[in-house]
Amino acid sequence: MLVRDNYQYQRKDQVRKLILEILTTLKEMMDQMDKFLLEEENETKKKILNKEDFINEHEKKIEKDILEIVSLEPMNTSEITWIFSMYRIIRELERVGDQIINVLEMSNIFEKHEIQPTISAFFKYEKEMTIKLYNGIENNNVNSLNGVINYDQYVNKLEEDAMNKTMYLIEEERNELTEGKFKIVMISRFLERIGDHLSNAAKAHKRAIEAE
Amino acid sequence: MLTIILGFFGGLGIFLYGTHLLGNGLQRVGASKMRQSLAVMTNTRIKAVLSGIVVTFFLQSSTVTNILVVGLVGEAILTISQAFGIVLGAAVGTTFTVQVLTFDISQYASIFIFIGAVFTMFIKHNTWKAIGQIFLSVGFIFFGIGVITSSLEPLSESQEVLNFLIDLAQQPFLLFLIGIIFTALMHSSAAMIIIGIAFVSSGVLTLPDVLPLVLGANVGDTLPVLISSLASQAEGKKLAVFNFMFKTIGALILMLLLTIIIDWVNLLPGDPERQIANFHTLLNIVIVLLFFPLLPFIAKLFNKLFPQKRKEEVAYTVDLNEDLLSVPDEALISSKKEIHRLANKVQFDMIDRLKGYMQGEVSKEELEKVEVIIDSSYVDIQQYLLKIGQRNLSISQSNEEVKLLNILNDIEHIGDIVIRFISEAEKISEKNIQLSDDDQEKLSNILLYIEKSYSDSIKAFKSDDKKLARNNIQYQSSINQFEKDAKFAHFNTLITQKEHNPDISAVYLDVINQLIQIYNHSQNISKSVLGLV
Repeated sequence: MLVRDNYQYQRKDQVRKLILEILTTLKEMMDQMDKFLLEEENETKKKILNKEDFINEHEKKIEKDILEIVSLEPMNTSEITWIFSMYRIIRELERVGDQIINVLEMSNIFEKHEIQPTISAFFKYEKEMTIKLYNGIENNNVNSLNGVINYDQYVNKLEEDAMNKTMYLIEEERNELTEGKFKIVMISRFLERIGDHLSNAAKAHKRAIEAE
Repeated sequence: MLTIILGFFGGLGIFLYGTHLLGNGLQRVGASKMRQSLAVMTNTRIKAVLSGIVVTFFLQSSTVTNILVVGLVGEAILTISQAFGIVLGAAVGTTFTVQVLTFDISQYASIFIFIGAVFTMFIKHNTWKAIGQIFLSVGFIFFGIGVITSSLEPLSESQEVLNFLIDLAQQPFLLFLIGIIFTALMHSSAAMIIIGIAFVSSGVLTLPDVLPLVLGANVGDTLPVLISSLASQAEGKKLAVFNFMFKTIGALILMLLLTIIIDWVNLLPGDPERQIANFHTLLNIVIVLLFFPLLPFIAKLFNKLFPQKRKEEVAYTVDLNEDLLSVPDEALISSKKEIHRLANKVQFDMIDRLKGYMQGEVSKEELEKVEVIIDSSYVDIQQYLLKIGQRNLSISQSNEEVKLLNILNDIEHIGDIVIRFISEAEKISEKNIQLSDDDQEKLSNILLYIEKSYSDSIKAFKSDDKKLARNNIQYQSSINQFEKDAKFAHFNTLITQKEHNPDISAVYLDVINQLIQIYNHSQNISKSVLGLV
């Protein structure tokens, strides 16, 4: 019996692998952010910035692969849906990287001990979401993808709590209010967006699976 | 006696099956890599000899090495002198197999068989399966040797057999002949020498007695290759005859010096079994040293004896050697060469002449003759490829085979469509149809696109140029649009000229459709090159 490797499938597999590598990198960025907030090492900050470059490079590679896939053979609806989904996923993941960098830049301005617990609380869920998204994409596992979408509500809740806490400080204990505590609302907004992007990526991949 | 015979042949069968399995396993893992090494590392004669030794030891087959060398000479990567160097090296390389086999590890054979069986049966990964096959075959080889040796042991107690063998040992040339014949029948010099060693270790024969057998085995090993080379190309013949010649001359010289050799063979290191293996290696080294300085002269002589036929002397036929089927990598390379040759024929004798046909400079009959050649070549090459497919191919070999089958099929279809195109185009003159200048220009442009696309596809196919194939494919949508534009312009011309003759449209559109089909098939070749299969 003969066997064959189809170039189109190879390219699609390559896109999937690159996306998984981006997810691994995002998880590492979150881990290093935790480390950076506790130890504040320039080396760690440099590593996080390098990883952002890595993601941007991967995004370009994936775009190139997708362009090639589209240009070589006519596609059916499910294949086109797959292409759209992959394109959407890399956009969402690239924005996750951007938001982590935003958080990193903001953390330079504030007292780290004030913002570290909030960031860690968000990352605890978002790392879990990243792992589930990885599993969902790697194994076409809809349950894992649903897990990512469900976890987004906890992230939203954290943002809501951060907002309420700040409002409480403004209204009731104004002397306790520092600039760091006040602006934690901004950071929470960035962190909440990370959850949204991960959730959107999971929804996009679910559509790709359903189209198949 | 029946037990001895059954044991002997059973052991021999297991041994031969083991060597066959090992050769296949090593070939699947390394034949293409060994081919590359031979091509790169063989720029001098001494390197040729050394690489012949290494490659043959790795592949465990001088026949496979010779097949690889024939292919490399055919592609002008090696000169015949370098090829002879590799053949000399292969003679030494193959003796290391016997060296390894004389290590007394038959008691561990069952472990090898067990590990091999587990890997082959329970592990899905192809690389581990291939390694499992190698373990299994090594186990079979040593198990076979053990069975042969133990089956012969009782012979030393049979006075009748001993007397017969002692009489036989008195006639070394007869033993030499027996060695040649049995080795040629078994296709394995190692098997013959192992039998000789088994006779010595079971005490039936002495070390000097089996030396003619060893010398005969050296000659017998070259006979199957020599016989099968009769149907092959000049390069194959040269190598087979050289292989036979140098081993026969060497063995005959040593047979004449046998009485002297017997005196000092006992001085070789090791027990008698090892001494036989050492003698086998040493004799081949001596023969190599004897012939090595003469290689350039021998190469010149062989080039005169086996001149290359000039291409114009030969009518177009498919040139595929069935012997290569035992080395799938080499058979696939050879098939690719033939498909490329056929593709060139289609290009130069068909596609490039379509414009001439449209202008009345090339006749219908000339193109039809080419189509007949394409059809018969297609059948021959496809049959050969299907025979390769029946072998146990690795994934990369299988991929290559699928690619070649697809490309061959597209080339054959192009030939068919050209004939259909001709029958449509003939209607233009039959029905006295006058195409507009614009329509004729559009047809000429489509012909140019076909020529370019086909030529790029064939270049990409020859050098496995994926970038060229990709660029070619990515241009396809422009041609599709051109086809639509041509048809659109044609309809508008008819309307503008108030033309109502339906034949004009029918013939023109049919001609375009046939040409676009040729274009699509040439695109398919690029797609296959890229792996869109």
